[in-house]
Amino acid sequence: MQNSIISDRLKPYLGPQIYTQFTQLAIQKECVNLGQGFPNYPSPQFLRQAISEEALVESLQYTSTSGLPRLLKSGAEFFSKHIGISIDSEKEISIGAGAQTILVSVFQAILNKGDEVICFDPSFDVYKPMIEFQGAKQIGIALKIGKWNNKEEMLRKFENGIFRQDKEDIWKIDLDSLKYHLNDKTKMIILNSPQNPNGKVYDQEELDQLADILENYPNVVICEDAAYHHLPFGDYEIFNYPRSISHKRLSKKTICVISAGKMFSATGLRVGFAIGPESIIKGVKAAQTYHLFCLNPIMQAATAKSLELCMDGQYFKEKRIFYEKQAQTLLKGLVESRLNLNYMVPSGGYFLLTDISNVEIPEQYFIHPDTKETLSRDFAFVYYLANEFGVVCIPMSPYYSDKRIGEKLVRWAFCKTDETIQEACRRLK
Amino acid sequence: MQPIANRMLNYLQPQMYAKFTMLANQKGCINLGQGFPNFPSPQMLRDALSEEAQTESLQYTMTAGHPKLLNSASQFFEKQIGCKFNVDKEIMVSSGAQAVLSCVMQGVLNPGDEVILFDPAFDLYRPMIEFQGAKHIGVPIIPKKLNAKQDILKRYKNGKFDYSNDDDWNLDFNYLERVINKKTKLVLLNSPMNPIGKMFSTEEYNQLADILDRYPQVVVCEDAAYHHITFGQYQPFNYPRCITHPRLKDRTVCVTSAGKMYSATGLRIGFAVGNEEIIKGLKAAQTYHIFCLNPVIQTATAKCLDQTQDGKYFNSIRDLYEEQANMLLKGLVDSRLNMNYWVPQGGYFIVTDISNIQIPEKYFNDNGVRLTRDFAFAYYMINEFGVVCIPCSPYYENKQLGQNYVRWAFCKTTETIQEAINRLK
Repeated sequence: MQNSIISDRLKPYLGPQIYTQFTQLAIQKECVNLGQGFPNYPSPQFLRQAISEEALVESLQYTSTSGLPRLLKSGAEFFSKHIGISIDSEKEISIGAGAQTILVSVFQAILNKGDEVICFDPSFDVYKPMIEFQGAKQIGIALKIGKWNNKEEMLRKFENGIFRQDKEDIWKIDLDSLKYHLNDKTKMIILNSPQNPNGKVYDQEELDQLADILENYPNVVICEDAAYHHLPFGDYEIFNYPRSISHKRLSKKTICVISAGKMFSATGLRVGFAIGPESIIKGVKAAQTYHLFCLNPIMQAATAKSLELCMDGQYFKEKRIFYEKQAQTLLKGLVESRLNLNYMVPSGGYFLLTDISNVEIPEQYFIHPDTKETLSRDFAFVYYLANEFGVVCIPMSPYYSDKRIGEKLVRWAFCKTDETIQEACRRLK
Repeated sequence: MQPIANRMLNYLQPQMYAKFTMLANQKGCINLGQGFPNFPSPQMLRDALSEEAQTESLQYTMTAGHPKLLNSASQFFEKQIGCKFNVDKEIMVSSGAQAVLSCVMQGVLNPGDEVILFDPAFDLYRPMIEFQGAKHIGVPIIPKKLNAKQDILKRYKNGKFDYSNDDDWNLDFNYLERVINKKTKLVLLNSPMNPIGKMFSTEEYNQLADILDRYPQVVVCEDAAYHHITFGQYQPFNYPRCITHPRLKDRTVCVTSAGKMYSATGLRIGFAVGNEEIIKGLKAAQTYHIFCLNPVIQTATAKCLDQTQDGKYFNSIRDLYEEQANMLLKGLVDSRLNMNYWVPQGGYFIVTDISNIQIPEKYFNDNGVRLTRDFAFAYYMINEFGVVCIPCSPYYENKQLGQNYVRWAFCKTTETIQEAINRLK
């Protein structure tokens, strides 16, 4: 019986996920963990307080599938206000157990067997299995890299204590490749903005171009993964940067996914939102009914309270300043490190991406310590760093359909305390 | 643009329980529909949640579950069920029994696989099976006889109805033998059973094991959401179960609900225990679904499990439910509704037969759609009696079979049940 118990779709995915794997490695080898994307500074006290208070008074019975009415209202109010759109709290918003479960509900609600989903690589590696589980196919189109900067070039960009972002740091959609891959089977395009891992924020021009192209493909839905929508950097306004959900021509075909856990630096919260037209939200609610049925009312009430407390957005403005600082500090540390990396300046998010093509990696790290299988450069680099530098980062080949590109890249998380980042920089000097 | 995928098209309307709860609220009815307790959840749970909120991590935790909860649950089940589950391999936490079931379906079913259900089967199973491209087959469980008011009253002594063979609902094993085949991948069994309160016996499990010996690829999923609510001779947790049956346990995954155990259906903590290979599949499914659960809810649940490990709490909860069951059953028997009745062996619900009820014609029509008897009856109850019950035809593959049954929840306060009884007198 043993061989045939587990369903075929899961067989390629039985091993521990890379984030878990490398967090475990970090713990084992006492590394500084710049791998998994979770903040290691305290979550806001007002969130803990809210959960603690609501635990004593909020209902502990089933609530509605779409979400606790209070959270639907506060969520609609907050996001309407800050994104600059109108959201009907009864029809155009739904609550899920974290952005990931919302993505699952979105894919289940929209994707038929044989449909194609376009992702712009490097794209979050968890999209692929979730797309496949609906019988659909992921098409990864590599973004065009502006330019990788070496240490010298980076130091030339360094002025007034920060690395200046230049046009060359911006990654662009390969429009030719997009047009080539779009066809009648395309059902969805995923736009993750700010993007994990490269911090890209899609600009107005790109969204306009996308809108133009999609006129010929009226069935395509855009899934806007906005898990980091509170963290665009530079001149972008938090929440209110160029977005598909607020674009004149794209909004009616967009489902936007938001993470309260990321917004409140509490990735374990497991509360997320879907926002979009009623016709799509209806499907998301239906899918969720048969997965989770409903969410815990206390966590929802506490999230509502937190959004209400932060309604003026000030909390997020301050957080963004903090993240921008951490990004710069880590980037400086990586530039000054003894690793011969190549760099780019991110436009937002939680992560830095570096190119490792010029790093000399000792042969032994190209073999997996336990399974003995051959590893790609990026994985070898991660083991090299863990073992000889005591710092963990994440390999990027899982983020690419074309592994040859991803093998040259690794991701570093800056959603960490000053101490953590400084310690990492010290170990890399 | 019609963006919705084919698999969802039949499921876009609000789900039955939500719909009837809304109606109950709108029309000021007594809600004996949706299965949630309307008495307070235990203070120990609220306190635990409140305390853990101040100190427990709020970041990602392990996909399989918070180590504290895995340990506490494992210890609790060992003590109460009498089974040792390896904390690293044979147990997983998910977001309510519903999410566990979703992981089971995803973890085990390939497109084209078949799943055997026992009707009346909880109506949320079927869509979950379909979403994995599998096929569900309902094997009917039939009542031995219809008990009219005077029949069942003979067994009413000292405020309690005594269970007898006349209350048995029997599994049609011939039917099961006919429908099981090489494509069958899963048998889904709910005991105590929603909605009829049946508890499967050791003999029935022996017979099942005999059949399954010939189908080694079949996994058994034991839905034990009500395993703490067992009446009469049965003890909470410790009654005939697949997960303890010598010939079934190695092919079983058992699903339980901490939310139901602690009268807090909104808690959203459930467990899967069983065969390591099955659990492996569930963990993989969960990784690409919820990824992990909220740590605070988990450690609070662990605290409650630790505090109630000796089982005394559950004995008093069980006694409470047994009282409510008897109270409601008596009220239904004494009502002006000419129904047929059975004494439940456990669970949250009583099922009655409505074949003799004269239901006004108007309730059979919902915006031009002809409703089955059970739905018509449910609307009749809402509009003319002010009490909500749940129609059982959605629990059946064969709607003809199910259309004469409705379900009433007794997981309610005495006030609620008394008021319902008054309205039905």
